[in-house]
Amino acid sequence: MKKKLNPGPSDLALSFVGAICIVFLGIFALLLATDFGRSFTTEGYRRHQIDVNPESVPNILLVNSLGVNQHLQNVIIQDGRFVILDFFYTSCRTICIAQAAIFNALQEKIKAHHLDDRVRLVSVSFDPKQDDIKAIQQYASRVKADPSVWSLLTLNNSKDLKSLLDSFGIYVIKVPPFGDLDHNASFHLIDPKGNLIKISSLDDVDDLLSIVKLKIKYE
Amino acid sequence: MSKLKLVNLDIRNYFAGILFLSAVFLSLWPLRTVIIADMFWHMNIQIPLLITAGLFSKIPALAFFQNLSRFNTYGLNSFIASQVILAFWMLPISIDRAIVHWEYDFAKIISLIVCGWLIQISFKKTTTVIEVFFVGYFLAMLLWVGFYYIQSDVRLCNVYSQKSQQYAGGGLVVFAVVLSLIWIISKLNKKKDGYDKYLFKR
Repeated sequence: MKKKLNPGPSDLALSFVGAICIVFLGIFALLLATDFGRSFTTEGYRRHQIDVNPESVPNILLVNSLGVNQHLQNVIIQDGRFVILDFFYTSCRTICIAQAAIFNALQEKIKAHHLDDRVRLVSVSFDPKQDDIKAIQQYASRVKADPSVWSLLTLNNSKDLKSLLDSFGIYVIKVPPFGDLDHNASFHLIDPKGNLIKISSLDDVDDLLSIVKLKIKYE
Repeated sequence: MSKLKLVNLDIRNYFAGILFLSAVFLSLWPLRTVIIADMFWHMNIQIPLLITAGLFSKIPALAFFQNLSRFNTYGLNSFIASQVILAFWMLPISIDRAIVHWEYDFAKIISLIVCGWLIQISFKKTTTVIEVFFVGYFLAMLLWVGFYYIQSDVRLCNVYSQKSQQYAGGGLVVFAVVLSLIWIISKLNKKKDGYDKYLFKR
């Protein structure tokens, strides 16, 4: 064990300057990693990024429950309505059921407020191997989707899955015991020009509707 | 003049090397599937392995380190730097990034080894007051993060399920409790031996 010597005044001064530098650099590094203290989770980071810079949605080929092929971006621009979009898979037993219940309530709300010519709901399956057109149809009737407001889509080509999920910031994992799929559940608001303008959590879906109302009011 | 020895084949280095290699293998295929699937293995096994590897390895006595120690009176700066590294790897966003991007995983391995070294240096040079401040702060942070992971009803990491997050949080709480007990007991023992006399009597 080396004997502890009393440090000289010059060493103390050096250490003090060093401490200030390290504290500032450390705080800066932590702020940089957390988007200046705004987001401690990947999901929060993504949501803030979209708030600041809206991104255009990818033009990926999807199939609706009637078997019609449609490119995502084209169909949103042609339709001319705001879109609230979420992701699901038909064999899901947990979070997707909650999402479907929220969408069902939202569907009724949209109809009650006569907003169905301005906003619609879209659910996209991220399990293209299991979810063919038939499975989507069954699911649509199970969640009581009204085709004029709520359309359910699945991927045409399962190769597009990764680019679709990446562009929406969705990360799908397999949960060990039964290999169930789990994913970050969120709702995506897309404007009629095909830009993703807001991502919200499941609890704040009403905010998306009020954003739509505001946008319509100030058009 | 100090002897320049880069590879020091001390028993401590063998031990640290085993810990380090087992942590690195957890980041490589096929064991990587374990840390991808389970947050507990990532936060409570791999990260502590890396820190302990740094903590036990003998740092080569280079002139560079000797000169650097002038900036590090009472181990203050090494404590601050290690604290920053530890805080960084407790953030859910960093955990996600380490799984998704290999660059972050590489940075994680290097920075946590360095963190272990820094803690080792600090403990050699520090005084009781500074040690109590930093260790106390770290343990409180660990406990807080652990409880936060347990009670949070949102998934904080996109790459792990909520159940896995709760287990990892529980693991962190256990770590905080066990580490604080070890630390307190070792402090009391040192005091009894009169080993730390310099620190208590001035």
